[in-house]
Amino acid sequence: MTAVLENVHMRWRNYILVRDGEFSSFWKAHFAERTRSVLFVCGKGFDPRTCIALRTIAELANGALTETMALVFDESEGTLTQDLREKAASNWKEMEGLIVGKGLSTSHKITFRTADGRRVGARNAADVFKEEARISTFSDIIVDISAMPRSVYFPLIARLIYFYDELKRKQKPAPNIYVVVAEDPVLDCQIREEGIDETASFLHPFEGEFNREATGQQPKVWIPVLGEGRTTQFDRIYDLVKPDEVCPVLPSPSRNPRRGDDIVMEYRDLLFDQLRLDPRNIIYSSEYNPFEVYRQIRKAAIQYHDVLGLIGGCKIALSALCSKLMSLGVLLVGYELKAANSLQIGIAHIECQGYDMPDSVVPNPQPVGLWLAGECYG
Amino acid sequence: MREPRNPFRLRRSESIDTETAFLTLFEPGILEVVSTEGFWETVHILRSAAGGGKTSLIRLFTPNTLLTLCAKRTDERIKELYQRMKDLGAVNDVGPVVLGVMLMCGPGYSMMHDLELDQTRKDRLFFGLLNARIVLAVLRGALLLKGLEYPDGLDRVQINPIPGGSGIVGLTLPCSGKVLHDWAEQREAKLCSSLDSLGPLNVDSLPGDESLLSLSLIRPENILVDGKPVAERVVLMMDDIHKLTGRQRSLLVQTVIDARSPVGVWIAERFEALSTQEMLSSGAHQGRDYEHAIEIESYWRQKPDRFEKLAMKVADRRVQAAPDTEEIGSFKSCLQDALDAPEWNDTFISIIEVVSNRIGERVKSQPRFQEWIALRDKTTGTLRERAVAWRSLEILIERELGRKQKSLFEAEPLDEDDLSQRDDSSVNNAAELFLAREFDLPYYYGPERIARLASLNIQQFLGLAGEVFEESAAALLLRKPTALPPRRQHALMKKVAKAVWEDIPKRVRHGRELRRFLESVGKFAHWYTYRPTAPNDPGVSGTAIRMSERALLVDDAYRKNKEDVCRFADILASALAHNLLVAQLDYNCKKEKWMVLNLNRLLCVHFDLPLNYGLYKERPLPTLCQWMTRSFTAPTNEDALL
Repeated sequence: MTAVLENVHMRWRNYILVRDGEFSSFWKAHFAERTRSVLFVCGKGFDPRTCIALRTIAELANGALTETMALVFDESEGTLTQDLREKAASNWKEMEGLIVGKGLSTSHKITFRTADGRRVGARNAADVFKEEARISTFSDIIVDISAMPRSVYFPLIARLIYFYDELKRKQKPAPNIYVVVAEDPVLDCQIREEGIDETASFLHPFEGEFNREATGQQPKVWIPVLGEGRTTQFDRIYDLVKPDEVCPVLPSPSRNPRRGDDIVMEYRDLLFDQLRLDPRNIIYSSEYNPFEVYRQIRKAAIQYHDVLGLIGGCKIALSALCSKLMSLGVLLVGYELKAANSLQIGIAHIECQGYDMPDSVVPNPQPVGLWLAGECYG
Repeated sequence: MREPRNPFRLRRSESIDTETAFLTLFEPGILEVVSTEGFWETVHILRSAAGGGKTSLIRLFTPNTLLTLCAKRTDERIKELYQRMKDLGAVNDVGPVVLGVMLMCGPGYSMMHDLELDQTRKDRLFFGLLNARIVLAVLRGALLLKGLEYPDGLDRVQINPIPGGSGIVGLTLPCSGKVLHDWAEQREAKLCSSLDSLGPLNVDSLPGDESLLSLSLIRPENILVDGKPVAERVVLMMDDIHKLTGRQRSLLVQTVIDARSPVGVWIAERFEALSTQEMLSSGAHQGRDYEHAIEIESYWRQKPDRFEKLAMKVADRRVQAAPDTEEIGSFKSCLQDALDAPEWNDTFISIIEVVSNRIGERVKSQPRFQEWIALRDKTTGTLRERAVAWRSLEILIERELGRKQKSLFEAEPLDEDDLSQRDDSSVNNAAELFLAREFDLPYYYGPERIARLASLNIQQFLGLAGEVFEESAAALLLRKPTALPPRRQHALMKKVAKAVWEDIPKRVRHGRELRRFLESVGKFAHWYTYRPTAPNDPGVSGTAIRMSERALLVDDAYRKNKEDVCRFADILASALAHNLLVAQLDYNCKKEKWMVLNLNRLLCVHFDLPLNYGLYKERPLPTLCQWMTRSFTAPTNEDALL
């Protein structure tokens, strides 16, 4: 698995990313172009951004909205406070209003834990779509990740892109795949995770290669994308990965120009005293653009692979301790390099039992859309 | 990686990147927790909360560490450890004689449990992957131990047949190390790529095994390098077993025990691996499938003084490993140890005046205490000792005044003998605590108390000591005295305790409810401790329930339809697993047996409690269940509560 990376096609070198005002105009033009059959997948969650993207798309779809699938999260006992449950119910009520009379409304339950308390959400999320036939009837599939946890949207999107690739490989019609999110990095920071799991794990389907004992002697490089309030998660994921080299990714440029510095201050004990990080390892990437995150991480991963390939190769672990938008860059690198079978890559992740969202939160979201696979890529 | 500025921050074994640094920082006394009896042959279960020291212990026996240990045997900082390891039989004058293989049991196995297959097939897959990984880890370890390149040196390894045949599908013995490696590598690759494919899972042709056959394969006499056995002994050290599912864990432990293999097997897991039932039974071995689990914190709980001395030695090693801080020399040099310095004189003179006046006012109409007061007036010693003596007297007088059953000679004056009978170190300790709270004096300072604050957990100790060393090293840089004054030490401990307290909802499962419960325990202990008579002096740091009530917590029939009891059991198990509460079982008192629940000592700091363990005030189980939702409030009528 060494010295073949120059052949790996950079899938998202050119990309389509729309935000703010462009978001509406893009969908308007898109739906006006031809008759479409859209599957909209969203989470039935408490996040105040839950309905923003659906509001725009339902309004502009002009009958193209064939099915809206709500993912219902069965998080087991005591995960959400009563307040958050009420917020989730209120969001759902609004969503029902938005899609009434606009195609089929379905729901799919994702169980997060087994009876003995183990996490199985990621595998169940991937299995929301078990076969290609389930998606091949649509022209467009839009996944709104605004109210989904990472352990759901990472495997779900990976599976959709995989099916897309398989359909294309078999020269069958394949739907366009989009991801939309109401982006608000400030809000992402204010929603605090509680009851963080004691141990981290690799997210399905980004685990197997990283854990192989046969390559246990290879150095491990960890590239975590950092965000505020996640030092405990960082510490526990470090415990899982046990990296030889750490390359943290900081947001820059960002709405708050000092954000990267603030994050360094928050993580300074971990980064500089415990890990003795060389500051030259820090990678900067735009807070606004997941494709830029993808580009930077991909470049670093490939460089490490090439250099350490001379002494037998390396393993790369990625982690998203950041906003949802930036985390998509991690997913794209993970998918591309795993699908190409070009290096041993894993996505290390940790989940939590619940969330705490202050009442004072005033969301200031910007809708963002990413076109990940489909006709625009030829 | 750069040189560690503050070596106390290297709290995990994995953060220490060179073997020499690891050996230099490893305190040989930690080896005390493992029994030398049957050390190499038996199955050892190592268990602790996170940061107890399991992984460090395992790392010590891995090939690279043993080779470095032998190479550096004359190094002053490593000499003692070398001798201990020699006594254990891990090394001799020629070099390492044990092949220690560390295998991380990551979460890769647990997903097998969720496959839509019958249980037998799932178990086969589990053993199939485990066998492959054990073989790979042993082969790599063998090459490391012999200084051979991996994987090029595999051709020099020969694997002998297992008596009674191989039993491993697809493998013919004897074979070369290379053949065995290829077999294991292919098997692992097939299993991993199938289980973790981007597409839907297909498990039809996945390989598996009936049992842990690799244990027979890795016997020392079976693995030859250049025709000679690889080592006198092989030890398989499996870490992170808590990441397996409950069934996999039980299956593994039982299989290993049943195998009675000459290969030593160590199984390390965190307390969190235990279910609520197991966690609440921890410490009582009934019903366990093995008897000799080494529970690290429990071991030190029997010998707290030894742990505190050990902690100081650990700290000294860290101080000595820090760059440019030779002047500090030892951890004790970072800490002032008493309030007897001249700057405290005015404070204590004032305290003596206030307390003696208070006593005078309280008993002015009662001549029976006059001799006690006169005796205190004549007390000699430092000002601090005299202040404590006065406060002790105040407690003793309160006790006399509060006695419900009056004696026949109630009006008789109390004399010197009466005082010396009642006055003891416990009252003095309570008095010191009371003074600290009443007059804002530092209490949590000095090497002894800071070592106690570790709550028998090395990682917790390193966190606390690291804060102290950080300031001490900074003082050295600024050419100021490096010994931190007591007030600063106290403030640092309070700061760390507050951070731990505030982090509970984030770090711990059921954290918010658990913190509410702990808050009640802390407030209750605080209220009880600071009663004027200082009952249970020097104070309590927890509560207790009857052992019979504890049994109810794990009794399915009793728990049925009792949501609050189930919830409390989960919360209690979580607190014990994270070392936030420390349990002592079968404590005899009042002709009954109790489960004592003491707060982690760092939480005692948060509630201004003393740092002793064992003292408690019991509460009934329903009250503790209530504390999850309704915080304890100090009663207006004390007798009604007690």
